[in-house]
Amino acid sequence: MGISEEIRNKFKGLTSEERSRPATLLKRVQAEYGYVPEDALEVIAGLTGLPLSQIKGVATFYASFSLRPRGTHVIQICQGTACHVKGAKRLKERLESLLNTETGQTTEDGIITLEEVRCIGCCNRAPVVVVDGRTKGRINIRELEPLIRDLRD
Amino acid sequence: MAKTISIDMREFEFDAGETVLSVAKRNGIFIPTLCYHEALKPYGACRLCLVEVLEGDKPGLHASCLLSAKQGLVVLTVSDLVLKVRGVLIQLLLKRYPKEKSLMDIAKACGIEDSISTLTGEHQEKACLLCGRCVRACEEMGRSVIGFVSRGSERAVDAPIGSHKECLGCRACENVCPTGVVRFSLHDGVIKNDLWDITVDMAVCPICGRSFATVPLIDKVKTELEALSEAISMCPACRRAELLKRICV
Repeated sequence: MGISEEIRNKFKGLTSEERSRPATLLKRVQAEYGYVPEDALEVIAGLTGLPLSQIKGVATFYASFSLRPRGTHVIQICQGTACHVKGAKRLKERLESLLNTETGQTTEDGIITLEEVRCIGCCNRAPVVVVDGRTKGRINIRELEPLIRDLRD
Repeated sequence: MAKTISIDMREFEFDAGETVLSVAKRNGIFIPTLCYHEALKPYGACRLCLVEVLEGDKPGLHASCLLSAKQGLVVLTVSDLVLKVRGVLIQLLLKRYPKEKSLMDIAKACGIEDSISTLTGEHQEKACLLCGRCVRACEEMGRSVIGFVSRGSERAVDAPIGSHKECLGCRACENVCPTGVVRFSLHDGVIKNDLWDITVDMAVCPICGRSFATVPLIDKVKTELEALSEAISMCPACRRAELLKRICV
């Protein structure tokens, strides 16, 4: 079974209205695979009847969709205004040096992906990192090393 | 009595459905534009065609390419506010694309050149200003092969690989591009666009062997205008010669 066929099967349980919404389908694929494969874009274009160029536009617009495979764990570091004021840039640089990778990339062992996001809506807890979908607020630069160690174990 | 609007203290008649920009252009009033193209639907992205509405439903600044002419509307194209805001918009664009020729022309036409000489750094002379003309041309006349990707400073126009085969090679995108960064060039039997890495096969006239149109364009005509399906395979010159032969015989 090809990947396109497999993706199409994942959409079987959806209502016809859900199947006409590109963002809903992209979210489903992202949750299922951890990223959005190129083939999925074509499947979604076919289902929604929208041009592939527009589906790609949606998929690249939102930070919650990734077009590249991600690591087993994903660390998202907020670079929004409140987090920026609270030193999010230094946290990002620290993470990059600890992981020996750049933002938007996955570590060489394929375990951790580092991404930056623009505000996740809990600025009162700045600076914020999201680890595998779980928000950690008021993060201290010293907490980063143990956090990564835990993920690797 | 015909309906009128006031532009820069002068009264002008307008047709139903006409925009303020179109009334102004028709009467020789200069309003700078970038994303506007008369063959495409207005988009209101560049905001360079701003005018100030003094009397109307919503007083304030409006993009004239999207502003419908209505009886009693009073607008100014050169108020202090318009000049100030437009000046900032042009300078922001210049900051990002300082050597872009079409932009320099707009800046000159608007009397804003002073900041150009102070700009530094490496810049392309032909750059994509993200006006979206090509994207709209492809959407309205082609097959939506190209579209915007990403956002913020990474926003760009691109063609997903899977859509390359959809390209008709109609070159409408090239035609409406204000800067000339969208270009197709003829190579051995194909036309190529380096910006999006699109290649489209050229059809060859079965009689004289000349390349005269792209294969997908001819296929499109064949399916949509069945009566032409035989004649369209030939180049225009051979088609005329063939027709002449048939008439004379």
